[in-house]
Order: sequence, then structure tokens, then C-alpha cells
Amino acid sequence: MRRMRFVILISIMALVAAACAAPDAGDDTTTTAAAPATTSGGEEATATTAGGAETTEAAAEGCDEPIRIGVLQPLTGGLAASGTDAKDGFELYWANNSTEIAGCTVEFRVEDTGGNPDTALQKVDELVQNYGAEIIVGELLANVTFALADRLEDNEDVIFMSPIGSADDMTQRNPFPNFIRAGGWTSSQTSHVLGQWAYDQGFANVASMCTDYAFGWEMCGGFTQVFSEAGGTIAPASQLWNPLGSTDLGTYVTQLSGFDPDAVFVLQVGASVSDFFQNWSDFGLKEEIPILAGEVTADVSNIRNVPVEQVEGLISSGHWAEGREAPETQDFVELFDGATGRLPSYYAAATWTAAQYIDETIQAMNGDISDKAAALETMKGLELLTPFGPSVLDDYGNPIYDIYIREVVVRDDGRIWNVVIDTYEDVDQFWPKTAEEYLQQPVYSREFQGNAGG
Amino acid sequence: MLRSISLTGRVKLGFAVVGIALGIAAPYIFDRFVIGLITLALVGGLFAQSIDLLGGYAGLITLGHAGVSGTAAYGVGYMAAKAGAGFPAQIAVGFLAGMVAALIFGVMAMRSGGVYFIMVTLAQGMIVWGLSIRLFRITGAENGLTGIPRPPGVELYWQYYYLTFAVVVLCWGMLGIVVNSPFGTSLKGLRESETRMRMLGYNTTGQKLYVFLISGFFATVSGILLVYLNGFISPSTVILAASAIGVLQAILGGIGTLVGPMIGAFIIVFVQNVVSIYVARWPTLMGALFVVVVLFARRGLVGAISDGWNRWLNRNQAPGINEPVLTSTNQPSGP
Repeated sequence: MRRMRFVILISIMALVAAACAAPDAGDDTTTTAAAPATTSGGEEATATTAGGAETTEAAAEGCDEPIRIGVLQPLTGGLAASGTDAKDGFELYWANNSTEIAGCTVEFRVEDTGGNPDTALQKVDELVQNYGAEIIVGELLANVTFALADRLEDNEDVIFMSPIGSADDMTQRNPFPNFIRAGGWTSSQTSHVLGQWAYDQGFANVASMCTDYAFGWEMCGGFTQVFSEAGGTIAPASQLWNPLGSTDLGTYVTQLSGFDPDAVFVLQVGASVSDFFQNWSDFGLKEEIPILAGEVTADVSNIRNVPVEQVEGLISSGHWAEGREAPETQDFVELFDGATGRLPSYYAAATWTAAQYIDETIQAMNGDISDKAAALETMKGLELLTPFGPSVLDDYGNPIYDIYIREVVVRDDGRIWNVVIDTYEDVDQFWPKTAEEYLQQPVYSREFQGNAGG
Repeated sequence: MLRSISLTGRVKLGFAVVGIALGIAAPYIFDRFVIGLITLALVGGLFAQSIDLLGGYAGLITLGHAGVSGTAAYGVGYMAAKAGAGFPAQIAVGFLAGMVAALIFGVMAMRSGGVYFIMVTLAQGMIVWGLSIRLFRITGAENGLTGIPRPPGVELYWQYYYLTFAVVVLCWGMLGIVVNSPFGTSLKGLRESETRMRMLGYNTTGQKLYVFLISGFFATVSGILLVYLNGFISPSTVILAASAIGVLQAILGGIGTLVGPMIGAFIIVFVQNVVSIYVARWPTLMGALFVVVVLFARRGLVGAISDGWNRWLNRNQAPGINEPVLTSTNQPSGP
């Protein structure tokens, strides 16, 4: 009996630990997640009157049935904070834009996946078969996104949009016919640019420290390949890989300083981010060696709770920069800040942009999106001004964006955000190569980083 | 003939008949979503039963069993997605991979017991998880393996449901034979006192390896069923939480019984997938459920029901005669 109690304790502790490992343990983020099933109701009733007058004409050729969108995000578990940001961004769009488009009503339902592919697959069946979703906006994790894309692949009546899940191969070597990454990105897309920028700044010898899983390999590989092909040096021996979820990075940090690099490329996720910056400051390296961070590591959702002095001045690259001055970005930032009290992370901007793409596609097709192949083509043809900046999609369904070199600065209200210090315009996922050239190489992995050792 | 069976036996038989009838009728009653959930729960239940054979009957609680079922699933996934082999080869390799994992795990763990056994199996499960996110050529790393179609004849959801149902019922019957055999009785001896079993001349180390292999067989079957159900495999399937959920399902339903883990699996799958549609804080609900069961029904739901049933049977006898035997030990109540 005692042994059994011990097991129960261990098991419950394991689950609790998984549930508590949120990247930023903000209580404010979880309380907004109440009752995901009922999100669609109230807002639409009021929104109907706004567009009522002009839609009566179009109603003749409009819809009998509402256009339904299913949203799948992790609202519980270790990724709840990021998933909630994503959910809030999507809801905020429809709270501020009419859900009556060309005579059609748009409805949506947000479901919790818990970050688990088994659950996500059951929920997507529910959304498609019972709820009648024609568009699925999906998940944060690469494996769940792959699982959903695989399940929806044969379903010609559904469009699958992934504004966050960024696994390179989904729009490169392993594409799915009804999959589109409107509002999204590929992992290596932003770090390619940072590699070029680092070389242009005169850094010659760089070390790296990335999380040891597919996302870390792709982010690191993007930087490493462009930086070394431009003429920089990043020796395979000075590329460190720490396990996913490690929270004592002290030994890695001392090893990094031993390489005596000009700069260090860093990609950490979740709780490892604050641990890294804590160690980096404790060892007195912040003033010694500049850090070049991958997009997610410097995302506002990850550095919100890091002491300001540890991250002030941090350089990173990204397709999202909440401190970008353009009105299309600042309008969204103010709206999101006003609604939630948080500066928006890229998760929030991504789902907002996905909603914008859906809105514009329905408008362009005058409410009839029943032909999904045509809808996908229409979406790929759109040229939008999104919170990310100007956005068009390439032939593979991945956005071509301006990619920003960003610096963390303190705002007047004491909070930190990323402002733009340099812009590379119209960067696609293959930049600076052509698609044909790029697709001949394997996807980035620990073994293939695109440097001399690769 | 029926008269030769005790009242309890007749009730159990009744439940079995009703259960099988419901199982056969289910696709005509429920929609595709519910059938998908039932299929998932049946697969999870078989996995929990394999854990319960070790934990509930032999007293060897494992926190790494997802490593066994996951290895089998990865075997199938690799052959389908990367090697492009046919279905017989996929299933053969998956089965072999799962059984080899069970053999290695069993040999490593057979000399330990109690808390040490838990720790050894925990480490084994973590090793499989670590390999799954590192060996990207085989496992596809974090992205997992996609493109694992179901074999011909069971492609549709209801066809696959019937296959799963048949396999699970078959495995359930096999498990029933195992736990009611002399070997099954010796497992209970192992649970109650290993030293006494050794003194009686049993080779307890060999016994542990043997039961680990039998349990590994059923875990392997559940892993193969799961990978074809999802058409997908990723590190989430072999993560520690997957093993822990199996153990919790067994404890929730009633450890040391075969029906208990299945009931536990159904409860957890439905809370996770249906209740979560209506209640945002479903993990809290699930946690509360565990706490209540551990506090008030320490032998799980099945244990509590069988206690109540026995009390009702003995209602005319003076209280206290059967009570201590029924409630103060964790004696299993049979399948």
C-alpha cells in the first residue's frame, strides 16, 4: 500500500510538473481561458448589426450556413501561456472586425489540445465532423501540427492554417496539399537573416548554444549556414546542444566562454530562457560577449519575467517586432495591451494575422469558399499589410516577410520590448538562396548545420 | 449450468455479455467522434492492463511502460514512413521492436523490486524518450513520423474500431487466463512477499522477467494499435506523462483487477477529450477525481463497487465478520 501511494505521488508530481512548466507563469494569462466552447456567441450578435446594411444585397449569393473555423491551441499544460496568447490574438481580431463578411457569418470555436497529439487528433475530428469547421487554425508544437496536417491531408473540404507551428519541412520537403502557413513562418527563415547580419557586423568567430531538438536544430542551422557561407567561422566543436527543458545551464555557459568567441548565437525555449540569462549575467559575460538570440528566445512572452538588466540591449532577429513603429503594428499592440494588459507575443500576432487572412479571403471570394483549392489560391494571391508588416505568400504557402534585426529596449512604462534596428525586406524561407538550390540540401539537424563540419 | 456459478460470477458474466453487446452495437449508436474516443480508450485500457499485470498482480510498478509500447509504435512508423515496407513487415518489425525493448527492460529491472524497480523503469522510459527526440533519421525527432496508413480492410474508422475491439477482447481473455493460472497465483505471492516466495523455491528473478515479457507483449499490441489509430507517432507517445497516465488509469479504475484499468482509461480519455470542451480547467477536475479516489476508494472504483457488492451480499450477517478481510488489505477482487 505504501509503495502504491509513493507511485501515485510520483505520478501526480510528474503531471503537476508538466502543468507548471509554463514559459511565464502568469496567472493573468490563464484566467482568460475560461469556457473555450462559448467564445463565439456574444460577440457575433453585436457584430451583425455593424455590417448589416451593406450585407443585405450580397446576402442573395451569401451563405445559408455560417463559415465555421476551428482553432486548436494548448490552453492547459506546459504551453498554456503561449497557447492563451494565440487564442487571445484570434479572438481579439473578431472582436474588432465584423464577423459578417459578404453576407456570410463567421463563427469559430477554440479547443484545448493540452499540447498532446492524441487529444488534438480527437478534437480535430470533432471540429470537422460535428462542428462543421471548414478552416482549422492549428497548433503551436511541431509534432501536433504534423499530426493534424497528416489527418487533414485527405480532407478536401478543409483548409489547415498553421500560423505558429514552424517546422521547416511542412512548406519545404514534406508539404501537405491543403496546408498553408498564412501568418506563420519557418524556423530557419528568421535566423538566416541574423547569420548575414552578424557577418556584416564584423563577427568572425561565433559559438552557438541551442536546445537539442528539431526546432533548435533548424533555428541554429539557419544561422550557422548563412553565417559560414558568408565567410564567418562557426566550428562544429563550438556548437553546444543542451537537452530540452534543462534548467541549470551554468556548465554550458562556462564552456561557451572557453571558446573565446566574438559572439554567441543562442536559442532557448520556455523556462530555460530565464535560466540562461541568469547564468550569463552571474558569470559576468553580458558585457564581455554579445549574444545573438533566435526569435523565440527574445520573444516578449519569454523575457517578460527576466530582470531588465539581464536582457536590455539583447540582439535578435524576427518576423515579429512589437516595437516596430509602423501603424499596422502599433494599432495591434495597443489593442492587445488594452484588452489583456500584456504586450503581444508573436503567438498573438500570428493568430490575429491568420484571422486577417481568413477575413480577406472570404471577402475576395465574395463569401463562397466551398471550393477549397480556389480558396487556397486566393489566399496565396493576397497582399496584406499585417501587424508583421507587408505579407505575401510564396508558392509553397509560406509568407515572404520583412525580417527585422531587433534590440530589447525599456519602454517609458518600464516594460521591455523589441524595437527594429535593421530591416531585410522580402525575405522568403529559402533566403538568400533560390528554392531549387535550397531544397537540394537536407533539413537542418544536429548532423547538418551547413558549416564546415556539416 | 448457470446455477453452478455463484451470484457474483453470474453478475460478472452479465456485465461481460452486456459489454460485448454494447461494443458490437456501438458504431450503430454513436457518431464518429465518440467511436474515435472509444477506440482510443480501448487502446489506452489495454496499455493500462499491461501495466496492471505488473503493478497490480506482481507488485512491480513501472513508470516506463510507454517506452515499450512506444518502441513498438516507432517500429511500425519507421517501416511505414521511412522504409516504405508493406504491412506484414511493419507489424513484424513493430512487434519485434516492442518485445526486444521489453526483454532489455526486463533483464535490467528483474533483480530489483519495490521503489528501485520504479526508478529503474522510470529511467528506461526516459532513455526511450531521449532517443526519440535525438535519432531523427529513425524517429523524425520532435516532428514525429507522418504517413502511416492503416492496413487494407480496416481503413475506415468503424472498421478500425471493430479490429481494436476484437483485439482488446482477445487480449483481455488472454490476460484473464494468465492471472488465473498457477503462474498468476505465484505473481500474487511475489507481490505479497518476495522473500517467502524465494524460500519456497521459486526463482523470483526469472518470474519477474517472465511477467515483464508477458506485460510487454500486451503493451506492444497496444502500441501497434495506437500508431495505426493516429497514423502518427511522436515523442509525446513515449514521454514520462504517457507512462504515468497508464499507471493512474489502473489506480483510478482499480489496481489488481483487469476491468479496473479499462474503466480508468475510459474515464480519463473522456475527461481529456469531452469534458475539456465544456470545462476549461479540466486538469483540475481530473486531479480532484484522483484525490477523491485515493482518499475514499483506495482500491479504485472497481474495488469500491466490489466492496459495496460484497457488503450487500452479506447484509444479513453480523457486521464485522467479513469487513476486515475486505477492506483492510489490497486483495484483488479478480478480473
